[in-house]
Amino acid sequence: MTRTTAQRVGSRFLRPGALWRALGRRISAAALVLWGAASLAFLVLAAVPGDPVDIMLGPHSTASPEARADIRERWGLNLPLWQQYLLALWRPLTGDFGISYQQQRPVTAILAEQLPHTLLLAVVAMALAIAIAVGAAAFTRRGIFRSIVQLLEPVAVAAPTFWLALTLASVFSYGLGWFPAIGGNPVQQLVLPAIALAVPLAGTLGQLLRDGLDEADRQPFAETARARGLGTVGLVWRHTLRHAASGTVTMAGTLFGWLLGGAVLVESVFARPGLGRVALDAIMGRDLQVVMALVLFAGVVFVIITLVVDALVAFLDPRTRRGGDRA
Amino acid sequence: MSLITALQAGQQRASAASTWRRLLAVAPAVLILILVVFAAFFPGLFAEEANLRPNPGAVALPPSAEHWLGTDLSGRDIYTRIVFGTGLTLSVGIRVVLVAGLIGLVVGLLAGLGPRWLDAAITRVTEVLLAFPELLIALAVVAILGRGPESVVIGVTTALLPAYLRQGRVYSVLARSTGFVEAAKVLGVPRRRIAVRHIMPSVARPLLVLMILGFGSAVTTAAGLTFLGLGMESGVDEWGVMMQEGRNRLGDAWWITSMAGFALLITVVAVSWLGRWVARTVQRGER
Amino acid sequence: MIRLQGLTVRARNRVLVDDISVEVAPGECVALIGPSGAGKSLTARSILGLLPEGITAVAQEFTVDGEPVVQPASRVSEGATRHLRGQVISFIPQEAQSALDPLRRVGDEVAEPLRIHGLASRGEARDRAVAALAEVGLDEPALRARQYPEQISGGQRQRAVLASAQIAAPGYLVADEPTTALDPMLRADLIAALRARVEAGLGVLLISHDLATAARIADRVIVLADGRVVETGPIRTVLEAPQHPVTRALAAAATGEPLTGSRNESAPVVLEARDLTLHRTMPDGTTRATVSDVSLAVRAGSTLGIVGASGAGKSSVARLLLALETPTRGEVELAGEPWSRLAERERRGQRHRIQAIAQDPLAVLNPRWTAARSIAEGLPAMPRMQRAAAVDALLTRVGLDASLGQRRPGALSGGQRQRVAIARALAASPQVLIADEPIAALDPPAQDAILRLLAELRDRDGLALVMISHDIAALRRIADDLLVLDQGRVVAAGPAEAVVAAADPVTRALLQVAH
Repeated sequence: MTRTTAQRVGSRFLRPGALWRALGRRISAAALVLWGAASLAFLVLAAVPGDPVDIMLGPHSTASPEARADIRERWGLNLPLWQQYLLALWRPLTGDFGISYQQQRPVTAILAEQLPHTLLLAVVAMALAIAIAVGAAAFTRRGIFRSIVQLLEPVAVAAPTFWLALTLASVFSYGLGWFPAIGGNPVQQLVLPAIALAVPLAGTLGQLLRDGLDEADRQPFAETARARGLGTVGLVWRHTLRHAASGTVTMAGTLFGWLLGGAVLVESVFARPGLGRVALDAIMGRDLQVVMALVLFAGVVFVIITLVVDALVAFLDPRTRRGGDRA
Repeated sequence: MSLITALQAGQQRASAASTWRRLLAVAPAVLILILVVFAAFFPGLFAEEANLRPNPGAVALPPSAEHWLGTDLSGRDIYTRIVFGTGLTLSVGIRVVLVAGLIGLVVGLLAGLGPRWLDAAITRVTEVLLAFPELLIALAVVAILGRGPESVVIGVTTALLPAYLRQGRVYSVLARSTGFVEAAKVLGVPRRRIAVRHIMPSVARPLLVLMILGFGSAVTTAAGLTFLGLGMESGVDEWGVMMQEGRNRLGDAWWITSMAGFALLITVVAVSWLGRWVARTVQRGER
Repeated sequence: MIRLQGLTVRARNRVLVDDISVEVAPGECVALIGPSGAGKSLTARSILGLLPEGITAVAQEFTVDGEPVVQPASRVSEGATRHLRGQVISFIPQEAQSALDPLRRVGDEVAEPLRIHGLASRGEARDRAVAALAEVGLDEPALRARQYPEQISGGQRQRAVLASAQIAAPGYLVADEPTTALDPMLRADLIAALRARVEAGLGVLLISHDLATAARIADRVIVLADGRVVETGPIRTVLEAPQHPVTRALAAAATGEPLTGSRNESAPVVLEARDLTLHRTMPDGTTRATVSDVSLAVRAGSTLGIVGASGAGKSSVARLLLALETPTRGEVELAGEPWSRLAERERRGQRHRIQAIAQDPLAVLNPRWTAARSIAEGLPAMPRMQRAAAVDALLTRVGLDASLGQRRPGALSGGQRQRVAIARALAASPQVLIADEPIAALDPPAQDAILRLLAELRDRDGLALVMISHDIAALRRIADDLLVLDQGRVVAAGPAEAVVAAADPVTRALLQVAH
């Protein structure tokens, strides 16, 4: 390669302008997703048959016509549709997600109250899953343990979360009484639900990590590294883990969304407070404002996670820091 | 090619012995699935319909010689209910993946072969849809349409659709940029023939694998929604329903929920096993 | 001295290497030569204990500098050899430029042997890495050490790998086909570096299938075939008077008699390009001229060789000739008629007249189609019976047994795959064949065979052949005319021998490294 080409390659790398441009691209993509989500939510709500006021008040309301007219006025339901659409985009930006008719209070308040429980569960489950996945993939590269783990992983992935939750509850909660269903300290209450969520995650992440490590092993650098005297574990820690990490981290980010969904089931089984119960109650009672707000909220979470994950991957893999194409 | 590379890449010169070994690896899953399919179509072969009648005198009995898996809250034999519920439970999964797969194929081909703006539009829409967790989408759909088995099916299909749309597009774009597609262009092969002979098989094959793998997920999600009380009514012979019925008796009559759950677990694991084996075989053929 | 006696390597029940003995003394270079599949790599990796899973090596005796590595007549395992790797015997692989971990800094990679074997603390190792990089001739070694492999050129990466192999001052080096995938400049570089190290006292075991390259570094040669030693001796003797048929075939492939056809000045010009220019927009927004003002003309039955270093624009020219890209300026004409100017709709019916083969046939053959089906894709419409017969005829014409048509590309060797690609191109009865690096990915015997095939097709059928390569030596054998490209521009053009004789700087550089 001529010197000029080398310079060209070198200068395109880690140029500060390129970094900002990449960040800008990400943020605009995220904004686009959010806009799409909000528009979708609006479209869906608009498409539901029936009087929007009835939807807001619920089927059992006994509000007088004046009260209804008042609500109509306050919520701008008399405005032309495009103006309502703009309002629908604007309100979430100001933190206004509507009112839950069931609880007769702003959805934001409900979210703020229930979110921490679900968030705690999700984070603990993800951390547990990552720990299991790394342990399973990194320490069982060869031999009989690898075969065993490889056999167990698909079972873990395929196992329905709610079945897992039910079984764990049956055995450890009711059966052995180690983690009582009612009472007990917060840590005890967290263990079983977290495990129920972590197991399928760990299975998926473990498989991905192992495939990533296998793939990295086949690269030329792996042989050269072993030729320097590295053993199997050394190779993983010093080299291949970082290679496999980017793909796994990206997947973990995507799966965080799955976690939110799974939390609904698990919270139901273990009767835990959290967004799951809120979602279920809202669906049963057709409290659409809440449902839509939750869906929108999930979109926001996803977008944030994606940004975080992209930043992490850029940190792990210098090749992706380039302003243009990937290696 | 050096001997090492050949050995490491696992050359395709498969001897008879290794073909047998590969088939053996997937045999248990296939066996289970054959049993399951038979139970779905000919439940009478495995259990007696008579045992489906409610029996107030035998409510919530634990597993025994007479009732292999115990009885439920109406005194009905659980084993029989599971057998007769196989078809209904699985039909949901099939409907979902068929619809999602077909739409994914069509839209994917459109995105990959059509004008660039169409591809861009489809990609954007898919990105938005993918931002939401599958279960939440299904829940939202059920919320809008109201509870019921049909809502569950539509909800689960909608939830799985974005992934199929994206993969359809990805495979399509991948196929479009392969060397042999360009070689066909150099040969002067007309575009439509390239699409049908090269691109469509390259898209349909991985989508088919995705459908097999997605079947388990579809059935599970539908069962989950039913378990939450959003699907079919109590009393119907369906695995999700049975799990929901036993929800409040986990302490003393755990078998009502667990047995149906086991049936679900075994079926889903078998399908996913088969799906991964198919995926690996297809991958090997691509090399 | 490395002393390996009676090495046998098995995979399950198959014997891959049968009772081989190898000795390497300090200050000498021993070449392990043989065709593909002879067991050379396996032997080398057995010494290092780096065999893939499922393959075991047993040695009757294996000692290094007098110390036994394993018990007599026992398995050479990874664990037993770990203390040797990197500090007593080091290794450089086939594609040294890709051998560095792209996610680690160059300096860390170079220093790794010291850290693994506990020979230096982290700070010390860092300093010694910088010194090692300076030793192999890298400019600004301190800066290079902090950079990532991607940020330095291929040649610099190659030297860094060499640095990493010598930083712990091992007494021996195993080099596995180190020059095969390199372009001529890098190849010469590496050969010189290795020769210098040997003279300084390093014992080198060189694996290669290329007798010519080996002759430039090695003192002794061991020839392997089918897992056994068939001939051995000092390099000069073996090269000049090969005894065994395998050795003789290798020696023949190393030379290379000319394959130029008869120049026919009155033959019609079938392909002509005028002032071709191609501008491309780079990811960072700038526009670059990949090709600038390239003009050429090819007559029926003759060969034009397009040569240049990597990145000179050769493949872009090929794509323009094939009308896979539209030129920013300039025009291509096929047999006097417009070609690049046409709309694709009009052009499609004529595409059969100009066909192409590429460097990697695996990439251009549908992996799920049998060879026969791929070849048939190039045929014009015809009834089924006729088609099968036509495919068989094409297979025979490219020197393949008709039964191979039923195989998929994955089940064919590199040379066979390339022939299938050629057969498919011929199926369309083209007037022009564009070959873009058709032999770069093949070993020398296969390279020789494909060149002969191309020459034969040109002479027998009056095909106009345009061959693109960075290997000017191969082109000199087959090309009537040469076109030398540098950074998208033509720097020399004309009859092959004239261009070579005139020797402008670019051509001279290419010639120098091509032995």
